[in-house]
Amino acid sequence: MLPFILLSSSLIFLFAYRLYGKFLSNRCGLDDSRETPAKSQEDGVDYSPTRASVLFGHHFSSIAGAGPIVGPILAATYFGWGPTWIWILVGAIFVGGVHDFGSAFMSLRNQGRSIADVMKGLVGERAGKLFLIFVLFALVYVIIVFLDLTANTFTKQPAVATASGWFILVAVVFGLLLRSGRFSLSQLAWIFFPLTFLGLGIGHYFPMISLSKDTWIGITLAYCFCAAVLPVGILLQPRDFLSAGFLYAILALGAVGMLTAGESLQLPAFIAWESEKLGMLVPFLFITVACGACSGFHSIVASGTTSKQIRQESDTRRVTYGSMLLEGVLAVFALACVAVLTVGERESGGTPVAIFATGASKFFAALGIPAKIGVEFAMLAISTFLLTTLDTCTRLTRFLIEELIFLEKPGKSIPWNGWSPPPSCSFGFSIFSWS
Amino acid sequence: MVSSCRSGKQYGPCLEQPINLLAAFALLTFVVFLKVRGTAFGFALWPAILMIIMPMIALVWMAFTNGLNSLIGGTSVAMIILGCYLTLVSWKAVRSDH
Repeated sequence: MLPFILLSSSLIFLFAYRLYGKFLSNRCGLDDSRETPAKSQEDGVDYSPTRASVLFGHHFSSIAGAGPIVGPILAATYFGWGPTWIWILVGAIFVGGVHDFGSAFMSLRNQGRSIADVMKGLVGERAGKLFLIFVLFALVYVIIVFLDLTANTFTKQPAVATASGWFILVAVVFGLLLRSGRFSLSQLAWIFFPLTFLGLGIGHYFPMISLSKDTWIGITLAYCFCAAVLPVGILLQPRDFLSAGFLYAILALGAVGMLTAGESLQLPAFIAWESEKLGMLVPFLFITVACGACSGFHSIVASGTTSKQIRQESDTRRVTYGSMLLEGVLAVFALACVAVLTVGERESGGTPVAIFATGASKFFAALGIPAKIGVEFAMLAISTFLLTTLDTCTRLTRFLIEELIFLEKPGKSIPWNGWSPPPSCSFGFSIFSWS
Repeated sequence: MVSSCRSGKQYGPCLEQPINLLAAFALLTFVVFLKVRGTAFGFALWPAILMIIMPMIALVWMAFTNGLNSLIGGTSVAMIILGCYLTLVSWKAVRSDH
């Protein structure tokens, strides 16, 4: 049954991309002859035309935090895998995909402005301001939650902290070499993807010295400050591109393992209409499985960092709709991870992240990967995505504060001056101190 | 800084629904955007309606179960008012002749 669920989901998503994705592109009239904000406002800091494959990695890493893993695991545990699976399929194709695609497209046609600013122009000044403040609060909430999760992971698993530091270092070198123009993307990818995976071994053999959670919060915030103000092509974009490799590897290894492992489903297809912990199936299934089906956070990313890097309009379909569907595949994989565990294994697993790692390690074991290494690999991939979401969030918060400050002067361009401290540092610092 | 991180986590349960509500507003904005351009918008309208209804029901449920005097209940009510207002003005924009 498990291979059927994964294969049929992948096929459905593939067809959806070909058919419904094309429908969306045609309906919206994507036009490559129009100049995108990345080109018309190119500044090398935020607005930077980027090839679709790199941008796909950035967008996907940014939207795929813990959400597509935690949500499906919780929903499947309390409501059963059946309703969760159906909502992931329907939601990702017809709701989340349209939402992400639409947000990026509107931003593209509005000089790369955020969804809140677009709303201001279309619906009204007051509604736009309220929406902007609402989005800011939502982002701060996401930053708080992800900061806490990341600091917790680094405190409890020093190996993951070492590996994360290694990724950042590798990503900066990758970004600088790519910007130099001396090497092609494929040449660098052949060198740097293995280097990224090397981080797993380095973390395993050289775990970070033990630091308190408070110290990790401080260090992580300092990193986020840098990620929010540095040119996107130096840190954020290459890090996300390389991080996405981790997830592709997890999905590929997991899928092959699932096909060969012969594990059976331990979780019922349907459990109950109401759960004591989550509430009623309607509406809480739709709330719990957010990122894997539809999440408002994606609209901030799509109209924030992503729309400022889209090189041509036709890339929008691949980058936004494609990313959403791949996130759907990840959500289905997370669903499979919890579905193969027995009640005892699920209860001893504890957190959804640990349950995911245990389930994934079962599939990896079919390929001869020891369970301990499998769990470490899965945990590392999740923590990588926590950090990519966190740094993108900080940058997005900076964008929104800029828009809020210049709200009274529509059309005024943000006075960027490359590396110069004001205003980039002041905005970055405000995020830092605010957080 | 650290204490604000800890206290902020208390808002978690009442801020998960607004993240979904945010999706509804983005979809509604997309509907208005398509309407202004003269493009058929049905494919974006029904997901918008679905994404408005689900978090709103959840917010109402949370307000009732936690009580209006609690942090979660009070925040839920504030979110319901904000949600209703933004939905109404967006709907007006959809209905108006641009």
